Amino acid sequence: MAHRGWYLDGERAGRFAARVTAAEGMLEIALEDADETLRWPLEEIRALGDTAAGQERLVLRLPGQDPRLVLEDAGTVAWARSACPKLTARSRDPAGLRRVLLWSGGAAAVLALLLFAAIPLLSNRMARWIPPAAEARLGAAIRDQAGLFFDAPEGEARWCSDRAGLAALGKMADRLTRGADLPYPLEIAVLNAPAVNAFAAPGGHVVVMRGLLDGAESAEEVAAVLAHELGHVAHRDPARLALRSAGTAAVLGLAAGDVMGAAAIAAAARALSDAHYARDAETAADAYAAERLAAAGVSPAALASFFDRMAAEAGGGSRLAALFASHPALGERSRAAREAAAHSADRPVLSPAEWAALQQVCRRTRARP
Amino acid sequence: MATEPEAGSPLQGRYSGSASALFWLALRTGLLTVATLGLYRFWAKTRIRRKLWSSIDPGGDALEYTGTGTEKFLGFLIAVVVLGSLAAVLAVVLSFLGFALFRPEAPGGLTALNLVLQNAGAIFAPLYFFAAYRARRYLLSRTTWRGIRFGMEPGAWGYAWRGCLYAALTGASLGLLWPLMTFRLEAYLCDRSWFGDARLRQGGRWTMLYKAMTPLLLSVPALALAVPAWVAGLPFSSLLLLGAGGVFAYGLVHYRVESFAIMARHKTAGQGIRLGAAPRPRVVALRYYGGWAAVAAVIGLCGLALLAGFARIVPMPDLDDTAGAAALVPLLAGGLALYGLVSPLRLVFVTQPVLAHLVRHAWVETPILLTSVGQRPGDAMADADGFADALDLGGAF
Repeated sequence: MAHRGWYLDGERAGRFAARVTAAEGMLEIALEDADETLRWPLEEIRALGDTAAGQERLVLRLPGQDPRLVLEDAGTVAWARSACPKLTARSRDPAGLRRVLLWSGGAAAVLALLLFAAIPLLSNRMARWIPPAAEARLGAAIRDQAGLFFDAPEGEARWCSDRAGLAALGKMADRLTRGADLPYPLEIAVLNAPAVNAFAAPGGHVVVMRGLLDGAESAEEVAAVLAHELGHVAHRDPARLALRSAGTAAVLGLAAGDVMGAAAIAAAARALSDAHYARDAETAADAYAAERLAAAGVSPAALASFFDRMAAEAGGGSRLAALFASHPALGERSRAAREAAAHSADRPVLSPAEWAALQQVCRRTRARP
Repeated sequence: MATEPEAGSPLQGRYSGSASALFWLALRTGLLTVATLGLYRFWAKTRIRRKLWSSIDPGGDALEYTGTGTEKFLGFLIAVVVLGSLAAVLAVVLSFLGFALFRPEAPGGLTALNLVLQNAGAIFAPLYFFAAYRARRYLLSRTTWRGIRFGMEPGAWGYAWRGCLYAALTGASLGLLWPLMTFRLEAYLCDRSWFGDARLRQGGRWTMLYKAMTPLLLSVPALALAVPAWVAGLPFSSLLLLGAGGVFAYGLVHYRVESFAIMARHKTAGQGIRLGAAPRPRVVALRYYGGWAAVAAVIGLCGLALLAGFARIVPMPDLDDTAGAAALVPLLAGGLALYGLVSPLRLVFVTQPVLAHLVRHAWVETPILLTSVGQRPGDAMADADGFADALDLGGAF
């Protein structure tokens, strides 16, 4: 018994009435208006999936070819489902999977190259082209903005301004930078905040926080931290970092697309790549600090002792852990500093009176740095 | 059994999709997408398009969507690599310019710098038009009817600069030249489109679209009266504002639907095959806004039920300790599931009803001429609609 269907030949947009039978492993499609019979191997026939017309319509095809056979009544559809054994089988394409893996690997490699080679290279190059005066203006603005995140104690202003204290800090910086080639003049300010921290903004702006002066046991420890920040200044790290993270954010934002899970991955990847960058920069700044301390005749042992205490406190789960999260393992840093200390002379960096003045620098405060 | 339409009668569009089948397909593929961190979305999109296309069956022959998830995924990889490189260089150079030209005394100082950097994406505007053209070309090249492929010629860059130009003109004229943009861009797309070896042509003039703008233009003076009245706190002004806002919202849909219909009636394919459409803007507006209201209602009710159920199980979690915060996990999971519901609900309540109305009120005149249309070669398009996907140019499906 022949079933009826419509044949679409894939060459003209007409539909041709056809009689369909199955014989000898072949589906025979006899076109009614043309004296022609087509034979499709039953094993190779596939049905279109995810179609709207459940049982009433079945569209058959041979994978990779344009012609279609449309069956439109329930009886015929049921017959075809039993006659063709592999209607719903996936048409396998072994080259397809290989292509997906190959292209995915290629895309991942290009993105990695972009994130870890091209963007850092471009940022480093362009950071050098920023006019120092413009960078200093920007740095001042960033320093002021960053200052707003910290609240000064009740009744005091945000920036410490005791003349003798600032002079002592200036003397310390002079001694550390003597003979060093900095891209721009240093501007050091003391922020009236309890955090044990210091940071470098673009354009030679360095901010030391009051908490650091309170927590340090000697002027040498302060000098060690200051020398480390000077390393960031010498290497133009803040500007390089800012340019690089702008590029990184642009790439990862795109790759994430619009799905929440992917956005979380992008955020994690960005944190990772920024931290990776930061670790490089921190190690370089440490090396610079050790070199400057040695040149100034200050024992880098101070750097080591300061790091040791930081590590002990950070281990206790204090908020320092968060502050120093982007820094290389403190134990490692103190070991490196200790090795450097073995080769250097030891001269006090400040006189006892100067050190006392520096510790009292927040006796007076003002609103502007 | 469908039969060949008579020579004289037009071939009317038919739509036969079921809401529940579409909903379950969208939900299943949506869950898979979430479970695979978004990777499955290319295959999900493919399956939903197959379902929608097969629901459209003018003359008893359904459209067929022949795109694959794999080619979309590969296209996305290409787009990400190309756009990623472009975005990286652009972001670094823009930041550099921002730093080098920074003036704290300029109005806004840092704030202005941040604003410029955050909106640097505007430089991507031509790329959006580029991606939209490529996506349309991909869509057409993967659509067949009666075994014959649709297709589109290359021309994405021409579309990109025209799109930017007309968008700028529309903005500069406060929307008065919107019909110019609508007409010229659609004509650009249409005149490069083919069904098999039959070329599509857009006829008519851009000024004919002003008729479609009537409700929108009427709502402008109404809004111009209502907003100041509402700000001044005059009595009944909020009712006036609501009314004017309603007319404006309706006017937007009216313009989209009517401009589409007017232009469709001026389209021809091949040798004298005329196309036509006469959708009812009021029906579309009702289905569109009503559909969104239904989505919002379902999501809102489920959200309330979730919160109520959660409050019953866990009285008041103490967010400071870990156990308390962990108690929030089921709530977050519930929220995530609700988010996953939005897209299937939108398909069922908004996309499909609107699409069904548009299809049912469209037709092909002299369909007998269609049988002479021949096949066209396939269009490889390695990037598929990857650029549109990477730029989040989602569209309804």
